[in-house]
Amino acid sequence: MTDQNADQPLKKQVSVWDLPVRIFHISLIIVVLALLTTGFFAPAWWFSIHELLGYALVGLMSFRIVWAWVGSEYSRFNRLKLSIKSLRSWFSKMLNSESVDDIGHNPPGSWMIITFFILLIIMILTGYFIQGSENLTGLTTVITRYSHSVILVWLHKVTAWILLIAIALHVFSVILHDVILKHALIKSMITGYKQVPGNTPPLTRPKPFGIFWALAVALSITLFIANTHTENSDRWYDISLSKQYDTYANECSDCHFLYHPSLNTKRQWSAMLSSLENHYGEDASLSPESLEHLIKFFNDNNQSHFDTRISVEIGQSESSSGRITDRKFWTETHSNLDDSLFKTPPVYSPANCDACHLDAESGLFRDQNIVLPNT
Amino acid sequence: MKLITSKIATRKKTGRRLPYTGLLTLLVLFSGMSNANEYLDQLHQQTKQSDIGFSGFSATRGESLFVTQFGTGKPNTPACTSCHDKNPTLPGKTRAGKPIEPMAISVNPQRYTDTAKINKWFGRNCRSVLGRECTLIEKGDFLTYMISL
Repeated sequence: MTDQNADQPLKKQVSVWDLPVRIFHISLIIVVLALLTTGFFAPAWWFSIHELLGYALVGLMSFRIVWAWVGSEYSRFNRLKLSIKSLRSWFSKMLNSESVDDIGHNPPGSWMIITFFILLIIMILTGYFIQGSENLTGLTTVITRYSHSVILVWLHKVTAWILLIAIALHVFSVILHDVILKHALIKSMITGYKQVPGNTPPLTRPKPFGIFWALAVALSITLFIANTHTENSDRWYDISLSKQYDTYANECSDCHFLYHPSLNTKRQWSAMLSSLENHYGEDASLSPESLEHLIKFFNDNNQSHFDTRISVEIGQSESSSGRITDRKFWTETHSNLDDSLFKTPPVYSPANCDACHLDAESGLFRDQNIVLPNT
Repeated sequence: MKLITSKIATRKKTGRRLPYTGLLTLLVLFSGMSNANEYLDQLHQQTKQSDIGFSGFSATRGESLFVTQFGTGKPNTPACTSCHDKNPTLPGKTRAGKPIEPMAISVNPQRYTDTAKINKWFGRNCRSVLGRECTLIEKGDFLTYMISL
């Protein structure tokens, strides 16, 4: 066996996976696992972490896509083996126990990479569209309605499950390669080195300044996505700039947090204003002038003027007591919280929305703005 | 104008030279107190007109009004102290969880500086706690108590 190649080593050590690819791979594992964990298990007040991890994923993916053009030989897209023919021949070789020596990704591995890219891009897109539809953050705010969030969340969840299956398959195949075929894939994933046939030509090196391009593109896309806020739209506006808002603030904020007009329909507000002498167990009568101002204020600003989670889920629903805290969406979304939280300082009462929802007065009630007080 | 003359009068009487900050503090305190006192004076005059036997307001009666559990008004607010702290120099808390600034003028000089606001809250809270409007004497006693602390 060694006779004919006596003067040439049979195998040589070559750096197949360059450093950026290896760092990307390990970062992707961490970020995706953290995203799946926070996505599946974390309560709503952890959402800001899920959101930040999402932006990190945007950064990683855009870096990797650029690196697939400018990186070293086997980091490139054009070195993936995606033809059906190569896939077929790989499997037939495998079944006949012939040696399968792939320096970069083998055919099924190449398909795995494409699957991951597609799944992760779907995750990013659905996540970003949910941000717009449900939380009114980012560019997608203006092209979505709150009602789209149902289908978007469903897509996001289903894709996450498919991603989980793909990860399981990926990890299983790698272990199989390592244990049965003795390909040392895991070691090469960390060191970058693989044993390749001695006659392998030298590998293409990354393009000069490629790493700067990749980092620059990744950073710009991430910062752009993470910093784009389009709050004023036909779906939401700042009520504190509305006429008669000062009357609302002056007359009502002595006793309670200023409930956003989108929390009730026009009919519900006018019923409330006509029974202020018995306002949730207290007399909250107003002077005729103030009352007139408030009637105007809630005519011009109420549930029908907003398309937010609150305006749809709370504002469109009813409860026999009229209380927001008795409506179905409220009880459902707050059921995992301990009752004592609402009775102790600094919350004192479930009517005190802004004790935990930092953006409650704006009516947005975004998940990323929930901060449970230290009790 | 009335404020300034009262301040000058005070200075002449005490004959002290106060630093500017002291003067400002006094001004704030006196502007509050003069308004509360003005309101109290009006109450005093109105009460005298309607009640011949009236001999003046009492802080002690005001205190007992403040802490008594009446239970004649709305069920959730049997007393002033359902929301205000029993000690008027301390902040209270509304049923919806918002803090209420202390009622005693000595720790909260901004209290009772706006006549419309005094009327609004006497109206609402007397009906909530007592189930009726407060009498002139009750209002006078209450204010006298809050000024006396």
